[in-house]
Amino acid sequence: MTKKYFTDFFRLGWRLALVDFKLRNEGSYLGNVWYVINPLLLFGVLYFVFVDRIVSEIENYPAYLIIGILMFNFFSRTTLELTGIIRESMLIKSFAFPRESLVLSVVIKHLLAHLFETVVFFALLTFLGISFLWVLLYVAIALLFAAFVYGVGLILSSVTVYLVDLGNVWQFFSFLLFFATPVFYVVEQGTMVLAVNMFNPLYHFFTVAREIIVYETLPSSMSIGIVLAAPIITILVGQIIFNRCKGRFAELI
Amino acid sequence: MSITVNSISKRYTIGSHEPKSVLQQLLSVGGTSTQKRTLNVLSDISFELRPGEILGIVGNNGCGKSTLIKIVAGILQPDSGSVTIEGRVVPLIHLDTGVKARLTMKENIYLAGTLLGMTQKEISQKFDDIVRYSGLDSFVHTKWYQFSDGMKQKVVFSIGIHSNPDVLLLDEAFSAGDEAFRLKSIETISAMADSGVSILMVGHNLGSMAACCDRTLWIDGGVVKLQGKSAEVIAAYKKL
Repeated sequence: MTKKYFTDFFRLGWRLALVDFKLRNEGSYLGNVWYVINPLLLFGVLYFVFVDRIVSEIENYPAYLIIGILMFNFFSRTTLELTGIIRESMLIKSFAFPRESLVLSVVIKHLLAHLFETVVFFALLTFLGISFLWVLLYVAIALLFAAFVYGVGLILSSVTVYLVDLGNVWQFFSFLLFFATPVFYVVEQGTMVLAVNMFNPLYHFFTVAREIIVYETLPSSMSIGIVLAAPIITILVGQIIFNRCKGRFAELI
Repeated sequence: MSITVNSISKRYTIGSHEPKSVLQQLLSVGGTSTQKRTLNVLSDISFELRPGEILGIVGNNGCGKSTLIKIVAGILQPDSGSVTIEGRVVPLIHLDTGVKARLTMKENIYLAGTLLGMTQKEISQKFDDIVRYSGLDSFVHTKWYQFSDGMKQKVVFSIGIHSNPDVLLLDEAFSAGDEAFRLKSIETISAMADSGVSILMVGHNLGSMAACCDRTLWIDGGVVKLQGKSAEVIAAYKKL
């Protein structure tokens, strides 16, 4: 990969992301407010369903829940769209450009939406006693999380071209992941759920974000290590798989 | 040489689905009922293109012209053989796929320009020239879906020729534009070739091809049937 390849990759990824971000809510009366309405409704439902059962057990539960919902929504929306991004892109049949920029564009588009949601919700969090300084640190966590999602996206987007069923499987898997990952509940020490979540990168991203922002404590070194390593490993593995698949994209779609 | 195509071949595996009843479809779930066959689209194609030369490619539908131009553009990969290109390649193929229907002409110029490898600065510098050449100055802020096919082709062709190509690849470049724009495009292509740009053209408008191209390649059934001076090759192709 040359310097020009990287330049074109970032430039095109950014341009396509801005275009799709602009077009997403074009003609909509509420526009970008929809980015906030969805997690707000989910927050409202989950909060009132669990207000009697969990709220008393978890310190600052509203902040705990908001971070879980926002991060899971970002992961879920982005990866679901990525399963179809190569398969449905006619650009591939007409232009020779870095194919990875399509994946990058989806991640950037959803990251922009995620940061927009985050600003709105974190303004709320400051009323719940969260220090704005720690909130700023979330941007760094969000960028690492986006890099991890990009790596996952490289795998999903390329393999789906060959295995169309993967799109449906991933949709079901995301649904399971919502319940398997502590988005709205807390995992107790010594339980099977915790043992399973040790292998779930989402759990470690959520834990690091919550420990730092909500509880102002230093996360465990294992969680920090996984949050730093997961993006590198997924991008490396993803790029290898993507490189093996991309030569035939224009033929197969 | 600007382009050296050395003995390239390309095969496609084509599936054919026979119509089935709902019961047959349910019974065949999990099984591969699609019959597949291999189609040799291109076999042992070689040619060279010098700087400033215009090469035309003619042939019937399905003969492999578009596959060949896509391989040269780097969109498809050949099964065997090689393509060597010197300089910046600008492919103008299925142009409407590089733009978005809900964007304005201005926004689409920036999008398509980026897809063709131009920087934001380059597009801004060339923007007025692109619009002026297309002749659609009063539609800059009009949404793309309100454009006719001919208008779209004018804009995209204009973006392509202003993107500083060393090698320009044109697939059906004159299929939708009006006669005045077709003549203007032919003049532009000739002028670009005079300044050293190599141009590879695929099309069915034999009049335009004969007017533009120095040499022409006639492809039939995936192999080169004839190549040489445009007038001779196109005359032979017309007799078929």
